[in-house]
Amino acid sequence: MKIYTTLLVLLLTISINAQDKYFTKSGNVSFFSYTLVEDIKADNNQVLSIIDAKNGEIVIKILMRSFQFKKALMQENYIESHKYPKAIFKGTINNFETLDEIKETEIIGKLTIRGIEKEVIIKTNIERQKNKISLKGDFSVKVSDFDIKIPAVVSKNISRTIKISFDLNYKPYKS
Amino acid sequence: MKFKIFISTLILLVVIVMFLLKIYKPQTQVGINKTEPKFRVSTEELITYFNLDEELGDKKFSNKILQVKGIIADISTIKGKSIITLKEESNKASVICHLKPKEQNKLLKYKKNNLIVIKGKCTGFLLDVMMINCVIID
Repeated sequence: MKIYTTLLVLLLTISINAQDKYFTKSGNVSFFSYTLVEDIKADNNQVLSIIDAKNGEIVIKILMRSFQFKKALMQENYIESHKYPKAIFKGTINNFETLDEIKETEIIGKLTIRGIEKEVIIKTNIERQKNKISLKGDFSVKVSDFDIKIPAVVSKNISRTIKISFDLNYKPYKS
Repeated sequence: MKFKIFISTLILLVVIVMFLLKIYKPQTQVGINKTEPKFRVSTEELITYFNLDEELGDKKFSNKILQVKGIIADISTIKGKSIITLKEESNKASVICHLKPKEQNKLLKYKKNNLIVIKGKCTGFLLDVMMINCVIID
């Protein structure tokens, strides 16, 4: 009987404490282009993302115009943000339920830039605590995969492979 | 000979342009303080516009310098940078303003529920209207 009561109390405690959704409105995503001629770096600190803790599903929404370049003049618009104002990622964090403390895992999903969707697998460091989730990592994308056309004039200044880094810190979503 | 002069002039011009580009900063990044806002709106007006038609709101306000007046719902700091959230009671959405680093001092005069006027560049709408490079207008 005692065991039964203890189990019940434990279950209740877990269900009360269990957070369904985690979110951030100030996530960081940066991109880097390295060439012999020039390094280009841009930061975005207005990234919106939500994780569903029940199944590890994750959505990340990025406003292209929120990227701020180290060098002001770099704010060229090869992304055509007036036509494609947002980049979106929808996917699942692998093994999310079994993750404890600090671990490494993968996020598998679809990245959409300029209306073009591409399957990606992103390695990430994940730190999971009661009221906090942190995702940190980086991956590379080919400019050509998203049909981004670089004019010949600046061809040597922009790398064909762009490194994207992310640093997202989530807290529980209270609706 | 003529060709040599031509090439030398061209190289000189390129060097001069590169030099000028390095020292001259474009207005959107440095001149926010001096730039006239394209629109002056209240928090309510801005959010309502985007809520009614996000695409239209994007066309009208995104990438433009706006001056927004509203009540401070929250002041927070991330990585040493200040973020002010303007919100109206009736709205779930808010206007989230990322301040320029130099505005930290001005921000000390303000706290939650104060009325404030902020000028900055609108970058679009996610769950809220987003603004960057914001300065506080006294």
